Amino acid sequence: MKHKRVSHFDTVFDAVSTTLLVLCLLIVLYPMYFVLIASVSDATSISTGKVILLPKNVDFVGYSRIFQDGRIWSGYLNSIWYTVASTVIGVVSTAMAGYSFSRKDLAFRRPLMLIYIFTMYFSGGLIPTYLVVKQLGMIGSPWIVILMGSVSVYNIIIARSFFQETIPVELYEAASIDGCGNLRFFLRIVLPLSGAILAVLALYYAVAQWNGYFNALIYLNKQQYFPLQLILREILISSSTVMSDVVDVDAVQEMQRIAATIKYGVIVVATIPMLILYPFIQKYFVKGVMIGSVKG
Amino acid sequence: MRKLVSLLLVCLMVCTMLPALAVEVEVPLVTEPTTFRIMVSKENMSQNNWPDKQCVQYTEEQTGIHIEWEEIPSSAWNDKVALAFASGDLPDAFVGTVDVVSNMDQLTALDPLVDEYAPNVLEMFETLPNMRGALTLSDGHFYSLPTGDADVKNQINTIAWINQVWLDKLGLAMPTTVDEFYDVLVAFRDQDPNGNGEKDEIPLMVSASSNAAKINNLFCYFGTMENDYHVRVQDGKVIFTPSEQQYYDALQFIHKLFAEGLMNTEYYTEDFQQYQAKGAADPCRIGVCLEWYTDLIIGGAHVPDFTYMSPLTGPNGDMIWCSDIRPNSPVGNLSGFTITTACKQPELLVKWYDYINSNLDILNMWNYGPEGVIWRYTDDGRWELFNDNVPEGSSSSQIRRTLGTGPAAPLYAYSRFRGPQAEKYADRIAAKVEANTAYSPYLPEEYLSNGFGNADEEAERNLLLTDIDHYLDQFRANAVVQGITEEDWQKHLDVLSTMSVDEYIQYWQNYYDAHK
Repeated sequence: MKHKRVSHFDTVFDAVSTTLLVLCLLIVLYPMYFVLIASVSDATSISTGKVILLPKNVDFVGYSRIFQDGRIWSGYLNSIWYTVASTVIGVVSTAMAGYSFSRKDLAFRRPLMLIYIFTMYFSGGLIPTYLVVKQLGMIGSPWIVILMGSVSVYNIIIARSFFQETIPVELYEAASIDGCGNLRFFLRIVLPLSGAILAVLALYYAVAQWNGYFNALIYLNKQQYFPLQLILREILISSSTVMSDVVDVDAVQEMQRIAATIKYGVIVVATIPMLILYPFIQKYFVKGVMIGSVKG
Repeated sequence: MRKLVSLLLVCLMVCTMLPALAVEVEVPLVTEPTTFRIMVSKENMSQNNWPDKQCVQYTEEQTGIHIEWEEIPSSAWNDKVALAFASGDLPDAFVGTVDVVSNMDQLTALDPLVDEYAPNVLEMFETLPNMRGALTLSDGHFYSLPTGDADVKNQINTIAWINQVWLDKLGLAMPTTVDEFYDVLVAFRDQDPNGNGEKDEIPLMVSASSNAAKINNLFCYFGTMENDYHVRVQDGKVIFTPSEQQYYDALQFIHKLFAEGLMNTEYYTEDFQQYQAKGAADPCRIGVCLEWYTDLIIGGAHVPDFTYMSPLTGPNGDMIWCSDIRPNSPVGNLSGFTITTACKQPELLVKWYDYINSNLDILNMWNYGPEGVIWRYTDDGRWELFNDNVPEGSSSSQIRRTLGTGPAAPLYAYSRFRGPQAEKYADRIAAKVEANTAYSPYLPEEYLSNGFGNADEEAERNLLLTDIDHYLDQFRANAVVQGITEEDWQKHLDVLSTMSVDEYIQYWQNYYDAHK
């Protein structure tokens, strides 16, 4: 093995870049760490700036409040259900659409693609969309939250590019000579080779659904169907909006107090599922995005 | 079931005992069960759904009117209501703030219905003579009925509370003029009134993070006002206050307080939790605070130390106090209950509203839940709130909104149901009401009453206000923190002259003339 020569410049370079990277790491990591320690510290210590490196006056009032609140749990279950369902629907339909568009022999490929892309830039806007949903009779139905946004053109393009890059046409030609049709080719050959892109799509859809509240806010009417994010939004911000409706100083103050107590706890609780999910697909992540990112 | 029966009996008994004031509503209101869809702004502290509330079930049993509640989280309310009006997918009625002026063509005019079907509402109009005018729009009809708590305790939002213990300890007299007030603040700062040897006192506690604790009220000491609209009325003329000489004097004074460390120096930067943490400290750090009531900021042990400080005499000899809620004009949410044009039988909903507001039992069942949990009758025929049944980890506010609905409901608790004649106050509320009573002579006689204006003018006015507000926020903050010179003031007046202030004031003048 050749002895690696380390020049003076290299040492300095390493030192500087390591320092910078560690700094960046701290900048990214510290807020997460802060949320974690703040979630077990008492609200007064946090607001007076005493919580910096270690939790102060550790108590679990925030967490016990969260665990007692039935709304948070029903929201949690709804969110899990919406996320799983819309991810499955999203990944299945995106992979199918992406595959179709990756095939040069698809009839009307270009015009169809143009129509798809058109929707990325132009949409009917909130009220027409609302009216369509209403005509479909889906106002107040949890399915609207699952279906709406479960297919994204952006992700279809990523999937299409992936299939075009990694699945050579020759593979299909060889298979079709052996009597393999499009469906079997897609199921038996394309999908097994596309673990990376499926994982990436699943993550995209899952994160978007998990963090989304807007569709639920607009289209759902019953609290029993609300996803977690909408419930959290309600708990954390309504103390500031309620004032205009009602002059009840005590109530406003109590809401602010509750919000302060549970604020950091709910962030932790709401983030955990995504944090658990991430390591499992992380290995595909870089690869899948890189491949999909080439060309539109 | 047994509970319900006994409750009915209790209600029956109490109904017969009530003074003849109440106008009995004949129930049921309908012969056949009738259903309405109502969109309601649901408060976040409510732990259950509206159909599960006893008051709702009881009212349905009595009136025969079934309500399909569409409960909207209060944080999503404005979006959902705007969407409902824009898409035409209207419920029969709204319970919660609605922009009545711009949506009046999709709402039902209620005045003919109220005149014919709602004796209790008419009685309310008689008791509160300016209510009808406040509700009426420019076309002479009204489209909404009020909701909320119209309690005297809410007539004045901000009171100045002073630490009497500190005054006594330093041998100081209660300040009556702005100069004396300044001297007191200096003494609070320098003489260590809390006796901990540290200079941690905050002589004047004000904070932009709390609605009631803003510096706005300090402008009154100089004979002007600062409020959300930057206007006041004098001799029938609406005046734009930020261009008044008194406004300049007030800014000078506030800057002096800020620069000398006499007021909370984190006025603009702190959030509500930080504000409260300062007030909760023991030993007490606060000399004077502006708040709705002291216990909202001061830690429990020190609340009794404070007493209200009557409005000061300013250098110009003025003694006024203004509040965000306009004095003597109707309190509560004027657009709290509206019926849309989608409703086939609006008279039934008017009767339904009238029924809920017909006597204290039913009204309080909505407002506070069934009798005996957090409210009860007193021996002298009034009623009071009490906390004995509030379990650990819960609160009166929470129970109120779970067993009952809280004030964001189709009810209007005005002086017939609330206030000293009807209600026995807890100590803290009694203290607040006492302060309000002491302050009320200082409220300006001329004011802009609550009410609805002309839709176009209001839109124009709000547009202008956005610009003016944006500029003034910066200007004020700058003046308070950095100070202000004659030159800056001239520049400020020049800027204002470019901002269509005259037009803005003209809109207010029109509004004032229409609502006099």
